[in-house]
Amino acid sequence: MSFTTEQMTILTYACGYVDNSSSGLSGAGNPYHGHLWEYSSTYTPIANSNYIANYIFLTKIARVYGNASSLSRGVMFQKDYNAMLEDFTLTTLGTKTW
Amino acid sequence: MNSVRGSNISATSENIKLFIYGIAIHCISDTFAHSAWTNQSGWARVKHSSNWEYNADNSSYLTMRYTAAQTAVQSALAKAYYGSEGVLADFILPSSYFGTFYLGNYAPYAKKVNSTIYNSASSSFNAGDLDYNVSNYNFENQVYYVP
Repeated sequence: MSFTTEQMTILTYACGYVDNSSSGLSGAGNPYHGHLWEYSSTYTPIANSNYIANYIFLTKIARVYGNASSLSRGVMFQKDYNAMLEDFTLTTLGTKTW
Repeated sequence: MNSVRGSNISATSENIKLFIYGIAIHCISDTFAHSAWTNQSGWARVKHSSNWEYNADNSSYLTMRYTAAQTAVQSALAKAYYGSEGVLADFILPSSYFGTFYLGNYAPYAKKVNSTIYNSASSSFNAGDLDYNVSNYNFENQVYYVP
């Protein structure tokens, strides 16, 4: 298993991207950060968030190039599923185009 | 649509795919930063402390968290390389990694995702599960998840 330099650049950039506040994906209320709960703006837990299911679902989104709406929820919690459907489409990530 | 989100990465389908795998890798590695409990005058969640020494994002704090994250990320990278789906097994870790920290809802979330795989590796998931190993912990007024 060996990635090209360009592939490693992409992976590294993506890993850091979701922590960038301008991405719209950062912060405790977003399901991309391995949290076991969703949080309110004051970091109060408001709902369960299955970090295992979220990780698996993200790999599924990758395989369909962002077309999250083509995927079923499975065992994900509804709020996280809704958030990912809102954030990922074939043409957009968050509120911006790819 | 020439580049991915302000980078120099061409927004081809394959690059977008890899980019999303990168987000998945962030998610799996962050689990060990943000869903971990440790004992500091009582078992409590590791948080974004103003003291970097005890900060959730400090890989030198509770170093086995970092070791665990590295192992899980290796599994996730393989999924990215081969273009395959992540699986529950990507979260199976040596029991020896745990003790200085445990993950909240680890075993019940694993069971929820795939009860067959969970049952075949329950000793590993239980070894890392907060509720299984600690009798008294601060769970921030939440109820431990039951699948």
